[in-house]
Amino acid sequence: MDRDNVSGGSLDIDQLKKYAQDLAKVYKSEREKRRELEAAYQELQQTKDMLVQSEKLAAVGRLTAGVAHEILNPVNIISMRLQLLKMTEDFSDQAREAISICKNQLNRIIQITKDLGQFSRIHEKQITTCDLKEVIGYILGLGAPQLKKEGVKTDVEYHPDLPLIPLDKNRIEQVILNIISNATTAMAGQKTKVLRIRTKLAASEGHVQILISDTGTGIDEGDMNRIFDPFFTTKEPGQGTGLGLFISYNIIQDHGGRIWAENNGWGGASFFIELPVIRRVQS
Amino acid sequence: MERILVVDDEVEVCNALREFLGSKGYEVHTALDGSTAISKVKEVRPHIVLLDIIMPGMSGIDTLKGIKEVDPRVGVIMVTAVADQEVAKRAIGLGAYDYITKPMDLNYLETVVIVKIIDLLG
Repeated sequence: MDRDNVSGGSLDIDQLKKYAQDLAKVYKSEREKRRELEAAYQELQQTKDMLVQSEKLAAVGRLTAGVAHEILNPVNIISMRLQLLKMTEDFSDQAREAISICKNQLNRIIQITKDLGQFSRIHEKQITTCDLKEVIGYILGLGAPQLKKEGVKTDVEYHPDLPLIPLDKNRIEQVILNIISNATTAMAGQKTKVLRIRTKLAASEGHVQILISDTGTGIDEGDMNRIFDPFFTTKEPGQGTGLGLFISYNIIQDHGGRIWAENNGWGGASFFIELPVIRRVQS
Repeated sequence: MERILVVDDEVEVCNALREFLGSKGYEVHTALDGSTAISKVKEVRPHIVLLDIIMPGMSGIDTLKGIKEVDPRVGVIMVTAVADQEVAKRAIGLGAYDYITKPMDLNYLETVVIVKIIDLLG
């Protein structure tokens, strides 16, 4: 074996090592790119799902608002006729009770219709700049007796420097009340009952985030895509119309924000609400 | 006898209100659309008009303007579905006296009518 061959063989091994190192680098870089692509694809898929969900619910919202309005006309006539009947004196107790039952059931229809009728666009006049701390604090104050009665502890932290944001205060209060009410129901029978609320600047620029978490039973993964659908409920029949989260979703959409849910590490559900700091008028 | 004109494209609404307000001693007239309502205001000079906001053809708002041109003193009470409250508030800006929402609470309606009539006659 001459020197050249040895040196040539040694050179080949070095080259091979270098090739192997280069290959490893390329592989690592490609793997990184693939991960980035997968993450981008996943994000795109999520955005697409949200857009589909958003368009679907907006269409359902418009339809239900129209239907609700049409239902109110015959309901109005039935309601007036029942009131007139009740004013008539020559009825048996049995007939009076039947009228009362009809009136009560009509009130259920009216309530559902009113809920459905809330999809008209937010009027600009109702928008005022609000402090989220005050909005959430008001709802917590309102719900305090019920939370106490149910044995729910609250753990609330507000970001100290959140800007005032443009809101239809009543409607955002309705969303928060609705989520807290659902959380309270989900925690019934649980050993630990804690309602955690946080506010912060959202990751998406120009938005603030409200996070409401509970230690309830969480949301079945199979139901996660349906919780904002109209009439979807896991409550017992007669206990809920399944419109609360649907309405909440539409209210947040009308504010140019977004709302979603995830299961959390405490076994319960977390609702995320992001609202823009600057209001863009919805077309 | 105080006169009330009920304007609603639903004939059953007109009938029910005629029955209720008639039983309370009012002279009740009805109209199923806006242009008929304006003619009836000229003809019967009602004290109060109960006016539905959403009607086919002439809208409640346009009917209100027409009625107010004929008789600026007449007390117009707008009747609206919940979702129309913004329109109802606009109507008040155009001279309507008040608005009530569907489904109508007849006792509340009577109160609103009495208050306006006392105001008109007082």
